[in-house]
Amino acid sequence: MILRQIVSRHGRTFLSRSTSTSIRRTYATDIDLDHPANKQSEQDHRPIKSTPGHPDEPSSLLDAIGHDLLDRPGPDTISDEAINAGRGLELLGPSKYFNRLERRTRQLQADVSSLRNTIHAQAGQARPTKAEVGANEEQLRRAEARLENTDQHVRKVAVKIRRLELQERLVRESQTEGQARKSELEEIKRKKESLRAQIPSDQRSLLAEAQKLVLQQERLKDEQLKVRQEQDLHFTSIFSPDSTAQQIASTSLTPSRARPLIDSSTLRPGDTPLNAYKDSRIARRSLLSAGTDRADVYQPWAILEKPPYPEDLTLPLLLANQTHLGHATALWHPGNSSYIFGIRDGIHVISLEITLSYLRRAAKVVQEVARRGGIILFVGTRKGHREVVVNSAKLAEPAYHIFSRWIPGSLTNGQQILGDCALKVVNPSDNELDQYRKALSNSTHAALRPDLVICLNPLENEVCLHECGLYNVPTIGIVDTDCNPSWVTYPIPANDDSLRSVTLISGVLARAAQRGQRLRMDAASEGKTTYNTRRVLKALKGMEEIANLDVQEKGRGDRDKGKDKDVD
Amino acid sequence: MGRINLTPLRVRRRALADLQANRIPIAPVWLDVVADIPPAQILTRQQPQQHVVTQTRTRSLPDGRTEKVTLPAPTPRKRKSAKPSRLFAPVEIKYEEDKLRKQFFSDHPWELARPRVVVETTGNQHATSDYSKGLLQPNVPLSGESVVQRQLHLLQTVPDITEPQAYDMARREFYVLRRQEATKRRIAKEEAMHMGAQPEMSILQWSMKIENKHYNDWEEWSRQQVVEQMQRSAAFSGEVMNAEDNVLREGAGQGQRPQLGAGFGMRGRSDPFAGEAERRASVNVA
Repeated sequence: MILRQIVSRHGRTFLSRSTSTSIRRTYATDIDLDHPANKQSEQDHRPIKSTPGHPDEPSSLLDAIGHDLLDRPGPDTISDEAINAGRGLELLGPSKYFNRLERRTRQLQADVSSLRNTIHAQAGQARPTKAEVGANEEQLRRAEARLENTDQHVRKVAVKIRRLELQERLVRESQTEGQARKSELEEIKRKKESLRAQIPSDQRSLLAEAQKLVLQQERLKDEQLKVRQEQDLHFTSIFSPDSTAQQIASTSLTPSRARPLIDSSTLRPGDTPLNAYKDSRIARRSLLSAGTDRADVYQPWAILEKPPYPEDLTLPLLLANQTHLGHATALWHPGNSSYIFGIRDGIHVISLEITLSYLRRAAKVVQEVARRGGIILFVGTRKGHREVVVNSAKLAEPAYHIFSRWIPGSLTNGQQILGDCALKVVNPSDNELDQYRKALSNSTHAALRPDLVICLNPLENEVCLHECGLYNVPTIGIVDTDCNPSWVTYPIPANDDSLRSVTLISGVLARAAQRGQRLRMDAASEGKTTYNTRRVLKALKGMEEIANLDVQEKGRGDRDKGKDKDVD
Repeated sequence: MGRINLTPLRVRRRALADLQANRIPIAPVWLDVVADIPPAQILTRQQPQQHVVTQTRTRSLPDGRTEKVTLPAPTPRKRKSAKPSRLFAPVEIKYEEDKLRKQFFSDHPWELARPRVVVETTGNQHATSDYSKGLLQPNVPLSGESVVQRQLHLLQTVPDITEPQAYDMARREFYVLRRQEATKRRIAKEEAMHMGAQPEMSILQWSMKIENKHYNDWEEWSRQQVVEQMQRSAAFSGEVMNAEDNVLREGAGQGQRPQLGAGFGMRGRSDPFAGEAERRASVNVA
């Protein structure tokens, strides 16, 4: 089972599980929520239906939830209290619940960092350095050694006296009645006198020294504790905002005087799992910088995660990403002759200038279609295209992708193939309108068709492109030297065999779409739309009428009328 | 059949016709987009781009000044195919370096056997390279390509230099750098060994070890065969042949054969048979 969604476990850790990697447990502040691996993907399998409590049922909480729960419509009015009480999952359904958790976590991360800043500002000093901590520990060790050397009896008496003094101060500070306080203070004073009397007069100076040492030891321990707590703030879990805030406030803002003596054995580095973890991290970081400096390093994932914008494209970038490599000269399609720069070592070399201009033109088209709210579909069905198309569709959200196979007839016979799929009606701000959900479920709507198809390997998707031609859908395709450029509306002459090249081109188009979507959302925030809403309203009105009819008429009537419908 | 399908190019035309004929009630969202950004012209045949090899040289003039000239390289004239199908075919891309590269690697074929990273990072490495300063360039490992680029630079900038002269200069610099590399590597190894590093057995040592194991196994097996044969013949005729008896006696007294090539490894032993007993023990264990 792949479970990319972030799951809270034990109230303090994040759990991310997939088939390829082992279970990873990290602290909430360390997790990068923007990393693709931590996001829900369409590739992720939905959990199988099973009966809760059944012996075959997997132990995971999510596995016990059926499909119907996953898509349950949840009102946004559910309060945080209900979710904190542990009922979030049943009230919202998993996807909404986890979205909410993610939002909450981001908010908490921001809170913790701002709290940390205020703490440091209030303390009025920078965080203690490693050298200071080391010096402190050294001092503490020396003080302890000196205390060991004093007479055992004297030492015990000194510690007892110190405890009594602390007790005395607590009593003084507490808000009890004057009478009770007085009697208590007298009792403490009497005890102290009796303790002092146990020491012979010639050893009084020794006692004074031991008392001083005890005080010093206490102060050093307090300092050390403070330092460690400040360091540990990094790793503090932040699941409950209130408890965390209190915890931070109590650990760092309370004056150290009020703290009782703490056993120093719990403070040694590496003793607790937290300290061990922290030490290992520090050690690893210090090792990373050792040795040679790496320069000019190729990072294969960089172009996948952060593709360039169309205006950032340069000829060297295209060259480095192998877009110029064509096929063996014998395999060429002569229709590409105007895109070919020449022959080198028996293969055709595509002209980078032409690739650049055609790619920019295609990017402009993608951006404009996205701005008008068109449905953009990325199709890449070769091995290794999965990551590319999924990532591109995520960047260009809302966009769609196909990485397994174009089912023939998806356009020309779409009602049979895609008619059962769920339809989501959204307002101009892309928020779902729940009132249409019921009316447009159970095959009562026409299958949606894309407004633009981006094909990364036209050679294998001839059927898809042919259907797009039949159904009058504009297409963009990467045309290698062995491909027919007339298959697509907007060809991009480039290498379609190198994953690096395909990733670059798909990423650039995704960036353009992302920009278009942003423009659309900007307009929506000003209360405008970038497209004609007349037909949408018309279609929805027709659908509502159909929904009010009886069941027999419903399916047929909608199929005829629903063709012009658009979700946006 | 055999016709060019121009449907994808004519999406807008068809959408407009459909709209006019009321086949679609409302214009698709991309209709204006395709009008504003029309598809490019496709399937046009233009004259292919020609790639003329030029060479840049610096030559001295009679008055002592020098001038840089770029001329087409003298290449043997090949007759171009007059076939109409070849008229629009792309032509071979050629550079001056091709010749220099060919010469260097024919003289130093083992340079091709060295592993080399060919993946590009920025595609703009030449921007930081300056071959007037020598063969070593930032972020570029030394290779035959460095020699070629250096030679080309010399040919372009040094007045009246000939190709063999430039080649000699560049390759001598290359040899010096390769020697330095070898020395550095050797010293690093010596230092590491001195500090207690224990290198693994070399490939040759490993193969000798495996081979010796097979020989020893075979010897053991063959002795067993001889014993069995003798026992059979003794059971049949009641006597042992002298020769075979000698063989066995000889074998019992003699140790296993020394390892071939032993002692020529990284440990630098002079005596090839030193430590033979331990080695044999380790072989048996393995």
